[in-house]
Amino acid sequence: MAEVKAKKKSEVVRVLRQLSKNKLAVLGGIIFFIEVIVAILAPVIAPYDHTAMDLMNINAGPSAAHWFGCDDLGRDIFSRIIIGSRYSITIGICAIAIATVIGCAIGAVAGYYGGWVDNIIMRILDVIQAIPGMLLMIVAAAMLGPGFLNTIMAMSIGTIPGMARMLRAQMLKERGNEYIEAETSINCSTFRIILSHLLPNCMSPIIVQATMGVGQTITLAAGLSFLGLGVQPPAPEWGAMLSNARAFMRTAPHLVIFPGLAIAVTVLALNLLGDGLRDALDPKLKN
Amino acid sequence: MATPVIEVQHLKKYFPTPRGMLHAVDDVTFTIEKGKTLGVVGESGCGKSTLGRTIIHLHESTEGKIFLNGKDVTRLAGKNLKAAREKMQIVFQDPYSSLDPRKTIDSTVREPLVVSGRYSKKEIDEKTESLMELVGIDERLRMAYPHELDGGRRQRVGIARALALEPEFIVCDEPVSALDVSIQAQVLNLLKKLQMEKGLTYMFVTHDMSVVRHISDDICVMYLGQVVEKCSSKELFQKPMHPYTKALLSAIPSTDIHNPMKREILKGEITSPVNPKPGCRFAARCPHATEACLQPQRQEEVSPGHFVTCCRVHEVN
Amino acid sequence: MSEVNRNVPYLSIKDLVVEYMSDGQVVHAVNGVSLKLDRGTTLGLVGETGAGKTTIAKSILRILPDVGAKITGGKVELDGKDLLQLPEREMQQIRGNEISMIFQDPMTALNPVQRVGDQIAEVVALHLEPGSKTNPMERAKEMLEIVGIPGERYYDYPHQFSGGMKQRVVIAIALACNPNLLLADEPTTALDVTIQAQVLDLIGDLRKQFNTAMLLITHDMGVVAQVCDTVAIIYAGSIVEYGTKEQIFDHPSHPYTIGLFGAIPDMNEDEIWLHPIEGLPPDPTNLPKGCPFSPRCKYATEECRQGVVPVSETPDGHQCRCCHMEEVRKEREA
Repeated sequence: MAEVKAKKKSEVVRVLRQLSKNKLAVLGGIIFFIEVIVAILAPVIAPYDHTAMDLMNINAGPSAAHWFGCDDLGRDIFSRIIIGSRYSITIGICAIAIATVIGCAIGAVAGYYGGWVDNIIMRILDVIQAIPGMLLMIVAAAMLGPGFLNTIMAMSIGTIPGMARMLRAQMLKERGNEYIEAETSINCSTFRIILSHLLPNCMSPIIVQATMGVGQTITLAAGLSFLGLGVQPPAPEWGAMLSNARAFMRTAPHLVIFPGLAIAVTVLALNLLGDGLRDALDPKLKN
Repeated sequence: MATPVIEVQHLKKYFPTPRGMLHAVDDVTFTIEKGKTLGVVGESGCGKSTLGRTIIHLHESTEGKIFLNGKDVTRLAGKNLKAAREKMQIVFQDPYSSLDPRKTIDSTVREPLVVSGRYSKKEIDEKTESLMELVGIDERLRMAYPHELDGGRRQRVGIARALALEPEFIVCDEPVSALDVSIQAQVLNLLKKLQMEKGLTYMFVTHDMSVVRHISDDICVMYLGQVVEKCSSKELFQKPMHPYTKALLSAIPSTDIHNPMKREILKGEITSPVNPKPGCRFAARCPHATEACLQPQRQEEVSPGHFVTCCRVHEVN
Repeated sequence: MSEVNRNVPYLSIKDLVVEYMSDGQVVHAVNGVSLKLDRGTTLGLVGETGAGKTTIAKSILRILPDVGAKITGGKVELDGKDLLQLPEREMQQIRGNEISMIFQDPMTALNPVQRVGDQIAEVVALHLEPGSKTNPMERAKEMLEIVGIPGERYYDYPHQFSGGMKQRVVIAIALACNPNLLLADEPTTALDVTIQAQVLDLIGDLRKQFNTAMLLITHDMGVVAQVCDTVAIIYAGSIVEYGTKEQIFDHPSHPYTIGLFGAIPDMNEDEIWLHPIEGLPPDPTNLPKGCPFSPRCKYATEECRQGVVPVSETPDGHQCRCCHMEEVRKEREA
């Protein structure tokens, strides 16, 4: 057995070091990081005002002045995608953050207590999950009405059951370990056991799921906007841009290609990152 | 005679299962004096681990009484339960799953002190350090994670955690069965040293007969939730009386190659402890079983301090 | 059975070296192991976790994981044929027909969704000579009876069996094709003592019946004493002592072997303190120079740390890899 160095390594540093060995995950991470920076600095970076119409350049193809061309109202698509990243990425992150917090709370209660508490919670989640995800979000969006905040709400409602189930399953598995009995025998409170011991050991798959979930939510939100139930024009959300462009798919394909590419690249980057995190978060892997 | 540290009277622990009641511990009675070790032996599924966990309140007992230093601690809640638990600790079998994989061993040993809320930060630091020293964990390893340690060191961490609150009674649940022989001896010596220095009382649960003989003063042999034989360690190995004990002892592979023991090979398998029939539970595998064995059995003191639960004990011996 | 050459042992392993790659580091799992096994005899391979016991057995069968594990040297000769040089097709014929392996964990060795009997019959059918009249199902039932399970339980699933019965089924599968060599990797470690006694007895009877040679991997000296003819003690991938059971048990000569015996609580003596071997086994990615046991050995001197310690052999074939063997022996006898 190897001798161990007495260095205090924080968990975050360890995970990052492990992650850095996976080149694809690093690539995904860098892409997503750049996108977040771009979203924050969007008004500075965007070369044009995303609402400014240039009637001379309606449906104009990519050029030196307009890198991604212009849309049916002559607006610069590059600027719109950059500004749009604020909507798409915010929706993705916020919806998943809300869903993770609520889902984990529900899952933790169900998984730790088990018995009838677990039964009731699981049956309610079953009912929610029995409705197809997209349909559920459409219904939620229709009831709440279209709009940015409501899209976030609709997205998170659809994601909560999956998160709750996943955490519950993890909790059931972890709860059988003897260290939980050990904590009970030293008078650790239930709250402390869940928060300080069970949750950290259950979080790996949740973090992976959340990372990938951001990408999926961006796609779903784009779908919702495409149907006209999400973020409303003139806001340049990527899905809304696609929806708007579908009439010109044949005559001006770049109207569809560039927002579509933005979505695809983001989702791909997040999936790569999620995959890498899955391995990096396992503490049993050697450094 | 002084009050025993632990006294258990007619303790029962049943678990409901879809097929009926599982009699994990069925009417167990014993006492352990201060500074002594009671060995509990038996095969997998005989309820020996459940017995230990029930005594220290990790499971709620179904029936019977548990006394700690003469005080009834069978039904406790809140502050009283916490106080009792501090006096009774446990060392687990599996040094892999008994430590939180995401906590450094320092924070695992520190945890009971923090949770108790009785100590200042400085006291906790000092106590943690002395505990580590006591169980022989190197200063350099304090910030390591459990998976970075070998099984023996992990088990030392488990022992340090159990000692943190200065308990009087420790249930050792197969603490060395996952370890290699050379490491096993290190841990057994450590447990013995701690017992001598601190006057600890142990209940040592194991399936390894040579280990139990080495560490115990008295031994209980369990079969399907019941104690079939109970006496001093010496007597058990010299004069086993119950047919099951005899079979168990003769099944141990001996390292003496010149005097191979005549072995009594048991037929059949351990039956299920779910809804057991009255009568001797070993009867189905017992070479000496008769009609009388199907009646409920009584414990008999065959010689001072030597209890056997077998209606044919005199015929068999 | 083919004619037996008295001079050539049935199985002979020469200077076997196996390495693993793990995280860019080389794990020296087996470092120059040589063993011999005659027909109908049993060799006990004794050592602690990570000593390389299972790796040796898997090397014989050539079932080491494809990724990372590599046999970097040595020979494994069965009846004079080097198994390491055989093409994979011929090797498949040897696995099961000639050599069978019993794994430690009976719970995972059986397919949970297949009838127990069918699992035995499948192995029989797979290794049937073309044109043979054997009915695999009949043979499977016969094997069940041999290991003491009623033939009508052919149609049961593994979950309906207890641990001891499952291990007996695993043994039935291993013996179904009358192998000449049985590799048993801790076959009774997961079982209770009374069940272990049943299973050991069974293996012993069957071996006598079929004249099977067996390589028994274990960490339990008691099991070795009961079952084996010869014993090899392995430490950090090297054989440190090798001889007949009597030589090893009556005259252990390597400090590690003596330490192992000393660490087991004695059933006939009362001592307050056990005699553990201090320290830990070495890191297999970073073995000490010279004798791998030297950091834990009280006899160790500079000489031990110089280079590979040669094997010394007594006239009656008792091998020991220790610079201070004479001194150790003298002190032990005294």
